[in-house]
Amino acid sequence: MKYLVTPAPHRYSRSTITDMYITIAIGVFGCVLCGIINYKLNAIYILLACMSACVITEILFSLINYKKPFMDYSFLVTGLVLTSIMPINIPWYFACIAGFIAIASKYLFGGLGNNLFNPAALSRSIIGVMLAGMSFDYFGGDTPLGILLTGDKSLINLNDLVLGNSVSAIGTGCIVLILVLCVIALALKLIKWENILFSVAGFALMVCIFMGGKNVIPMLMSGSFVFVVVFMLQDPTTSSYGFSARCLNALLFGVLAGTMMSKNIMGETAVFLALLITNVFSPAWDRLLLVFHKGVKKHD
Amino acid sequence: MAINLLGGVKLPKNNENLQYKDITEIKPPEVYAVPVVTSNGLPAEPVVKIGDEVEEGQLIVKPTGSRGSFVYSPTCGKVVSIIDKFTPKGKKIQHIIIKNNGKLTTHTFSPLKDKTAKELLKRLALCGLVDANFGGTPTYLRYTLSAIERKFTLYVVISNTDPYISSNEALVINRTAEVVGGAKYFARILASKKIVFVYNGRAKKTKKLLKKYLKAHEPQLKYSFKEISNNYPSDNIMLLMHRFKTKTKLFTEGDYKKAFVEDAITCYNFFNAVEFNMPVNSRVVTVGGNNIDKKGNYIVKNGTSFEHILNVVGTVDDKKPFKILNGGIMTGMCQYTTDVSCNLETRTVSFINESEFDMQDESPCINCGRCVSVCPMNLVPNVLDDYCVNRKHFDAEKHGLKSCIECGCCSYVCPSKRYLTQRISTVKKQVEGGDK
Repeated sequence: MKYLVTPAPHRYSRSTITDMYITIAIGVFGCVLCGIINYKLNAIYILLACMSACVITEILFSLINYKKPFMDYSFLVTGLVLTSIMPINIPWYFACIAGFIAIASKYLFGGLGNNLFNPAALSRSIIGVMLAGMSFDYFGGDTPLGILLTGDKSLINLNDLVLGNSVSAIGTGCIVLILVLCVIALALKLIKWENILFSVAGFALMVCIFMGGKNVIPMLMSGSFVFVVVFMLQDPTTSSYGFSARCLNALLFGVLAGTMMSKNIMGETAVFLALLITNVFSPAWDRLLLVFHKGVKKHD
Repeated sequence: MAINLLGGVKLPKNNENLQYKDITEIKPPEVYAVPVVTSNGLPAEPVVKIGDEVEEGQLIVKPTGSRGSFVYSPTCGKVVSIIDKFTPKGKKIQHIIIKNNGKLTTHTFSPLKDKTAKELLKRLALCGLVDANFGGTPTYLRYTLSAIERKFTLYVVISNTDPYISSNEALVINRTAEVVGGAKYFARILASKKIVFVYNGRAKKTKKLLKKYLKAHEPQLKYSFKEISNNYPSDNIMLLMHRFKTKTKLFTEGDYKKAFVEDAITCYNFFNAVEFNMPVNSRVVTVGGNNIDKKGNYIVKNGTSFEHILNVVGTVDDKKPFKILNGGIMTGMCQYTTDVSCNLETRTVSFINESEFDMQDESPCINCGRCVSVCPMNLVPNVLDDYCVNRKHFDAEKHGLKSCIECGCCSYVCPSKRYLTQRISTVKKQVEGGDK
């Protein structure tokens, strides 16, 4: 008779990170599909450019690190999220650069689980900074955020914002779709409600202070904020793992995003920069709150 | 409404329903290997020598300090040797090897006169009852003289959340009178006004059967039922003690001596010790797993080898490799040999084949925090794991390494399949070993 010897436990839950990433990728693909319907071929070009850059970079870095490529499907989520937040009129080579930066930034920090910044947010912020100096209209018109901050506010139509008929990044326009996906993800326990609640509260508070209560809802629906809250702030690697830490993290993001967007710092890139700043603090919240997790002393 | 404890995981249900099968006594083996000390290592020494003839129920080990446990012979026979042997928990300790001579003479205690609280407490100290949940600590240590007759409520756990353990439920269904009788004796020690039977949502049928019995046979007994969540390890006696004492989900360092929670097995053994004056030398053990023929709950004598149990229950397929566990699917310790023997701490022996266990490679931690949310001891397993990997034992200790009860919840829920419990328990043993 042969006996197997392994340490306990001997059974594990069926949920794996591959399943998690594939489920999230399907959700984000819904947003990208919405962008493809709205923007047709342009969106497809950017999707192909981003995804191919992500795949090539993933293979390249896997070979450098002596690992099998595509061990997990995180590159798929990064590529799709990146496509969703890209402006529609961006040249294809910028999309390629963005894809490369996103995956490379993950591997330069030590691979999956070790990256400090959200790869898509980092890459989008760098692209945003690069485009800031250029004088061409990469959104193909005035975005709702631009109109709210500098233009005639009466031009804003809430129905258009909700249904995604306004000028926006590829996958961040249709708020209804994002909210539906949010409810599904909440039901599947892929995202946390406290992240949504506290970030929206912080955002609303800052917009109220700087722009008045009337502008809260239009501001919430413009500038990719809802998309970032549902899909990017929830990235487990770059957010906190404790409940209280998550609440603090989300509040900080809301406050930063609200302030930066209201004060028109970096325009459409503001929300991604806010996310990057929040990412820096998320390990700190966990360390700070570790004092409350010291276990229970057992008797001798 | 069900009581929720901190954390825990929902394990898949076991549909074999072993609890409804009758409890049978396992055929006596030829040789018994009785451990001298329990796994927590409280000092004790054998009172028999090699070559001595012993009878069933005769005292063979007595404690050397004030905290040890008495051990009684499980059979009539001759002491063949006293050797160092590994226990199922992997500790090398002294074992008394007794060769069975087939005689049926039994030693019993003298009957109790009035069965007062003090008399019962004395019997509890002498009968050799130990707690499986506390690494074999004698039960009487929790019932100090100052604690008796203080009108504490007694909680009796009548169900198990690990799908591979069904001994509590089996006893409640098949030996209801003994379990209730034992609980009444414990209640008398504590002068409890009522007994609270604690069950989880999956044991509702057992609760109904018990309720029916109590209505018919115990009209004067004051009792109630309390439902706990189905989450494993909500039936852990230590966690329940804290829960009932502190009335909060997030418990602090409570005085465990003031909360009294017992399980059905302890009540059953105590009833036999009081009513029939029998020293405790056996325990109801769930023998399960898909690699054996006759699954069920058996009365196993102290010192019965795993090999004998395997021979009695029969293997389905002995060509394919399988695991022998001393414990359930979540905490069971794998045995590399069948030459280990059951003791009074053994709750279950599982012989599981490939269909029942998972073996997966680990991936990097993605900081999802699921392990933090399920930890019943309020720890941060991912950080502890990090300390353990980097050999920062002092930091790990500072963040509650010793509090870990090794329930396996963190490893179970981890989507990256990290070996959290495995690494934490290894380092915990190193740290605790270093302390001693």
